[in-house]
Amino acid sequence: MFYSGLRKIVLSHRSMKIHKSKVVPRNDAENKYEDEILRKNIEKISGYDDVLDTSLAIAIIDLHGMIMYANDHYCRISRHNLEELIGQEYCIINPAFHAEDFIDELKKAISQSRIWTGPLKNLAKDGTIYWLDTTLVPDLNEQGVVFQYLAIGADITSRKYMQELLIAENNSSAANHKDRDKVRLIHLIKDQLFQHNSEDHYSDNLKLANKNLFFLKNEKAKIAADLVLAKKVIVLQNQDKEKRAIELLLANKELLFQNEEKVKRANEPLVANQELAHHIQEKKIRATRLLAANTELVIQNTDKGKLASELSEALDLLILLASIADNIQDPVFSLDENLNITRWNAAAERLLEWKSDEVIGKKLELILKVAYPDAGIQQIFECLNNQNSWQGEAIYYTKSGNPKNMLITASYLKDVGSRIIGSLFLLRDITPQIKSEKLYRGLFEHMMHGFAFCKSIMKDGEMVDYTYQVVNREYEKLIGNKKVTGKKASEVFPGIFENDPVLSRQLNAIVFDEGSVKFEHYFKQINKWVSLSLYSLEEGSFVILMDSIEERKLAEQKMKNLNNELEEKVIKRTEELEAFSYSVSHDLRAPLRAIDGYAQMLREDYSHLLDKEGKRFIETIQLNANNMGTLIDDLLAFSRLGRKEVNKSFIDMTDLVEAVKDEITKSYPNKAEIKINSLHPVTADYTLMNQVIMNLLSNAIKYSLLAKDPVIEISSQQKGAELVYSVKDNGAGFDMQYVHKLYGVFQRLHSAEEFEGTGVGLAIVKRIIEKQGGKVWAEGKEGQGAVFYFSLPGS
Amino acid sequence: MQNSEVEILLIEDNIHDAEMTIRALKKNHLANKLIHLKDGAIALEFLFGTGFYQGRNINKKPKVILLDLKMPKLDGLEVLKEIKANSLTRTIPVVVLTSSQEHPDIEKCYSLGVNSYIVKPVEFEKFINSVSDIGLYWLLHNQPPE
Repeated sequence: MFYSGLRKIVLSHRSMKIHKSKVVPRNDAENKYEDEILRKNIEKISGYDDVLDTSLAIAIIDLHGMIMYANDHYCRISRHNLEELIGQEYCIINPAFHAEDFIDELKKAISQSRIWTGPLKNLAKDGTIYWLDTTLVPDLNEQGVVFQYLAIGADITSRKYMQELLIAENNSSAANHKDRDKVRLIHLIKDQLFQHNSEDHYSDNLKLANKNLFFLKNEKAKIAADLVLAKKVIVLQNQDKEKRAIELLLANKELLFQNEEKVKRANEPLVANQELAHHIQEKKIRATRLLAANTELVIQNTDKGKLASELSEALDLLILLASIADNIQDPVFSLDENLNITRWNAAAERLLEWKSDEVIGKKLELILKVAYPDAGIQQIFECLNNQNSWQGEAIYYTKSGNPKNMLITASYLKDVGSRIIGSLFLLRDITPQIKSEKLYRGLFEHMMHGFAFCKSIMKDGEMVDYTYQVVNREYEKLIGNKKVTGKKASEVFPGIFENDPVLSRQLNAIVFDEGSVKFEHYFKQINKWVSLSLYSLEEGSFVILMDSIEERKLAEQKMKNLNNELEEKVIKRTEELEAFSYSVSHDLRAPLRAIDGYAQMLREDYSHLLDKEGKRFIETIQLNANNMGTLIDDLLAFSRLGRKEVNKSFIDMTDLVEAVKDEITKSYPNKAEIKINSLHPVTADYTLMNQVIMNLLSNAIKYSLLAKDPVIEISSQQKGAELVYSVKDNGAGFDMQYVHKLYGVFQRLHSAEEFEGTGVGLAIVKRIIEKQGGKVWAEGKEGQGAVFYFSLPGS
Repeated sequence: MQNSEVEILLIEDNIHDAEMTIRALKKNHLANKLIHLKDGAIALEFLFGTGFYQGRNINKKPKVILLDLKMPKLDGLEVLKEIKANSLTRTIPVVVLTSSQEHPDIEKCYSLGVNSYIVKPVEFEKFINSVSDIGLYWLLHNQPPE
């Protein structure tokens, strides 16, 4: 439908006379293809119609021997009109006049794509016989394959009649041998026939020229021009052709006349013979001229062929486009200039539920109801008047009233003269996308996280700003600004990149590494604590996900404050406790002093009044008072450690241990062998470490007093990141069952009778080591000695 | 004790400590010219001839003052402060008696110009020795400015 309309447009531009083909029912594809061949043929021939119609009978025959076309001359000769000839078998017109081997030869020739030439006897519509001196030329397509034949015939009926008559007469006279004159006449006719054969030789040349012409046409010429220019050229050429055709006509007429004359002269022997020879000479000259004219025609045809080829390509393209429009999966419809629907493809039927026969010829507005006010048909056409095409979204109702979201592309259809002849609408159903978009939009809008889609602004390879492209409500709520879309960050938060180096650095990092990062940030500009997630997208785009963590931060701050308060309270309490313990120990010392002092005075002033037992009692009083004094002193020293600050320095532990050893052995002479290995140096508080070594070494000495050969060994070793020191003795040792009690304050594993002491020494060691980030432990066996370890962090 | 010569002024609220101190000094024959006052207020009255000691010749100054720190009413620090603030008494050597070496007031005492201090040990023997040493030093060896 589309194609035929198109062809009408194309063909109507031709000035040439075109014979319309009789429509024979065939399937569409075949129809289109053959129509196309035919159309080309018609155009091929039409250029020469005027000439050929008057001189040669021409027919185009398809591969099945069917006549596809016949020129006027053919029609005249065969007494058929064109409609009767089209679709007839070429052979039917010349029924079995010829011997079988004659026809076989013909078929063989054409089946081998050769040109066949010979006289064919035909039956005209009115039952008369006519002869055509026929040339069958195979017509090759571009691939060199025969797709049809051209039959070119010259009417030789009169000559054949004459020939037959002469043969008949010859036979009869030869049988009688009576009439000498007749015999002479027959000889004359034979001579004439000889002459005719020569004449036929020229005619053959002419035919050959024609064959060449058609061959060349087949090679080069395709279609007559449609374009105005082509038309002009053709008109011009037609004028030339007409001139030549007239000449050709005259020549032919003359030839015919001469033939008739010759027949007459055959009856007038002798005289005619010479004249005939003269005429043949003239005919030769004319044939030569005709040949020249034909050559020129071929040249002109070449030019015409180029234009025709261009037109053919344009036409092919149009046909292709029409086919695409019909079969495309997107709905397509076209309108004429009055907005009546002219085309409506299958996809349009499916989407809009209107069948094409329901809508063709109807006004578009009656069919499509617009639901989306911005894209009414009138608005679209207003836009089209200003630009070549319009694209936009609209909602239209289907036949059953369902709204459909569509993406519409509309454009005008124009003819070669740029005249608007209609419009074309291409639709795309975007309802599913719109639905899912709505869904995500809804999620996006209502999500409880601030979401901003941003595009970075770079300068010298660094992000210096960004643009908010899309933000959701929560984001706007968080930053307390309703209109940020399309704005730069520097407009919303002046100086953000300069004043917020953390954010600037994080943004640059993710955009360049195309990664993501999540961090908590105090957003100065909005005076809020937020959790920021930054995700890099492609080409400098990124997403900001923002959540307020203000409440948590407030809670954290509150907790921090509470902790600080608590810490202060603890410090205060500790101070109070220390003051209290100091005060207590101070106040306890006074009565102790009195107990001891007065016991001493009693001993000094009244010992003569006391017996041995009385004196022992007094000693016991004094001993206990002194023990209590030591306890109080140790307790004070232990509590003092709590408030002592740690001042770390580099300590040569070997030197330190040596010094302590000297001090101890000076004040407590003993027999123990003290071995000091080379010790790892350590960074710690010198005074405190001195105290530790003092306590451990004096402990070792004290508990080795009873050993036979007391040996004390001090060593160290590196264990991972820690330095471990040990003090080993072979003294009293202890029961590992009670190892957990070793380091407790006032905890003792031996009685004061065995070894004196208050049980504070190891508690002090533990407190000092732990205060410096180390650990203490011990191993021992009763009666066999003990090893006391402590560790400290290595450098 | 009267207003005549006072060589040692003992300011001590604890009578047992005072008795033991005096006994120790006596052993070294240093307690003959000793006056014991039981709190800081009366001690200042004595030194400056006020209150109970109104009219006392304040130019008769003790050669050494033994001062306990922990006392009711005016404590040892306040007494020390007064003594060292007054030009009349500033040159009298003051030895502070304290129960513990750890006492945070010791530093303050030094900053106020104390001349020496004694930690009162629990052991009587040591206490006696300490007091005797200090008494002997200040009474016999030290030459106060005239």
